[in-house]
Amino acid sequence: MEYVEIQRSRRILTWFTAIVAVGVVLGGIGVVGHHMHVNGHVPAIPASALIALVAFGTFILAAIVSPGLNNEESTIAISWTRPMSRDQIAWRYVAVDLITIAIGALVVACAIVVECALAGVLGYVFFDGKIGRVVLEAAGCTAMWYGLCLVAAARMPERAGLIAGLSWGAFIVLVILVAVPLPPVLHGLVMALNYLNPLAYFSGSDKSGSLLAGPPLLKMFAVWLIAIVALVAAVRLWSTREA
Amino acid sequence: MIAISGLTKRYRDVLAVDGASLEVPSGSVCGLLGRNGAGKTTTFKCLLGFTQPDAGEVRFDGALLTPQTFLQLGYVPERAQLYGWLTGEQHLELTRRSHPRYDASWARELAATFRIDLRRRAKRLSKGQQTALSLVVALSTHPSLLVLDEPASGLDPVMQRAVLDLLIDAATNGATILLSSHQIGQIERAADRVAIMRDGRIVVSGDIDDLRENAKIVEATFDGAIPEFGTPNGVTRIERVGRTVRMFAGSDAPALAAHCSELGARAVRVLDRGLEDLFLEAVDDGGNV
Repeated sequence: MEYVEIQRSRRILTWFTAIVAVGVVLGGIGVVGHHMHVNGHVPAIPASALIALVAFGTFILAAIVSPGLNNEESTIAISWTRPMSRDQIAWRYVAVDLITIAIGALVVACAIVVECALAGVLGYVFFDGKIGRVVLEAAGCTAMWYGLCLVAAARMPERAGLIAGLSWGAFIVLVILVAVPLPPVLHGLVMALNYLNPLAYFSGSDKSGSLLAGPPLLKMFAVWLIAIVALVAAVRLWSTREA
Repeated sequence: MIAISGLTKRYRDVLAVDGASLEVPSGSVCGLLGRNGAGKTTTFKCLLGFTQPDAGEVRFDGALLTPQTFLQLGYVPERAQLYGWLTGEQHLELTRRSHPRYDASWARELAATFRIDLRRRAKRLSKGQQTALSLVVALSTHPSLLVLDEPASGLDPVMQRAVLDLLIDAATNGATILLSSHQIGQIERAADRVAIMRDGRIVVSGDIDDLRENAKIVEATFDGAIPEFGTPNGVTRIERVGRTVRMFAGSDAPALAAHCSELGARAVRVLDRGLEDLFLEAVDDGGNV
């Protein structure tokens, strides 16, 4: 059954890679021949900062691939008449999607490396101590984003694409609203909603940390917990849906 | 064998299926007939586990539905459900990967029979070819249980004939087939059993030959006025046209014919009733359309 999702992922990755490649070319035209200086020095670039950039690529891909499983609504006659459990079918879909996102992350990482090389700053990239945390955080936030889109569309599969698209707007607006002076009740509501916002957890390499208060380890745990719960719930909802 | 017992499904205020019971023995083709909204598609959905019935159960060869049932069950939906962006070849590849009983040469033979261009994306196929591709996917695994919801809709008469012949062949080889259709001629051609649904209930079911045997019209023409019959036992309807009376009777038709002769009928005939007559009578709701 995952054959369909592999085909779908192949198409998505082809387009994604093409767009990233265009970005690399356009970016390359802008940076080749120019030297990056800050106060007369080429700044050292922590690898964790580049990983944070990769994370935004994976967030985009998470939203793009998330409607796949719910889109099966229109082909239930094929997907639910396979000799395997629906849970198994759904988890295979999820696995293919997550692998697609991982491949997409590699594509973005390669693009960033190429761009750094074209800008002549590749030699200034250094591996800082935060890289492991940032990778885990980025992966968790991506899985959370994907899982939330999946579960939100589970009972309205025909709107899966719309929900995935709106997720970007919703998550960004929620982050922005934190800085807007709102009445305490609304501010509290915004903060509460941000606990379900992967962007609010993602601090990247920023020393000031993420938007949400609390120990980083606890937040990391929360991100992964929400991601796993959302995925399990989405799969169960898909499997027990009535056609 | 497919055994449905007491199947009930309610959608809010609508009782879509109301205690439906039906048995389709192995090697048999059962046609499920009914007007639009009679509950046929809902019955199929319950049958395949697409929706949970409120009561009743379905057994396939004695066992309840599990994912393993689909090793031997093929399904063709009312409207072709295909991945529009996948080609016919890719649909077959999908079937090959997910079904251990997939037979590649048989699938290609079927595709050739229906003249499907497997290189084309499904969304580029005509409606009839999409239906045909659904059939190829369903039949390519040599299912011993087949559930088909309007399998010949959108097909030209030649293709319809091919589909019905395939179903008859499959049943001859022991397959159990349940199909719905609005075209009674198709059912008459392919099925040996029939079930007629009305308002969610199966109101008539059985062997088509037996039903025909027990469904006769006694037509009696009198020289004078038609004598008063009342409603004789076993007569479901009486029509009077001029000096002729037509009585829709069951197995007691010969006795009724003899009674008409005794009453002085000039001519008495016992006519067979077609499946269409049986259907129209079964779904008759007093003239409401």
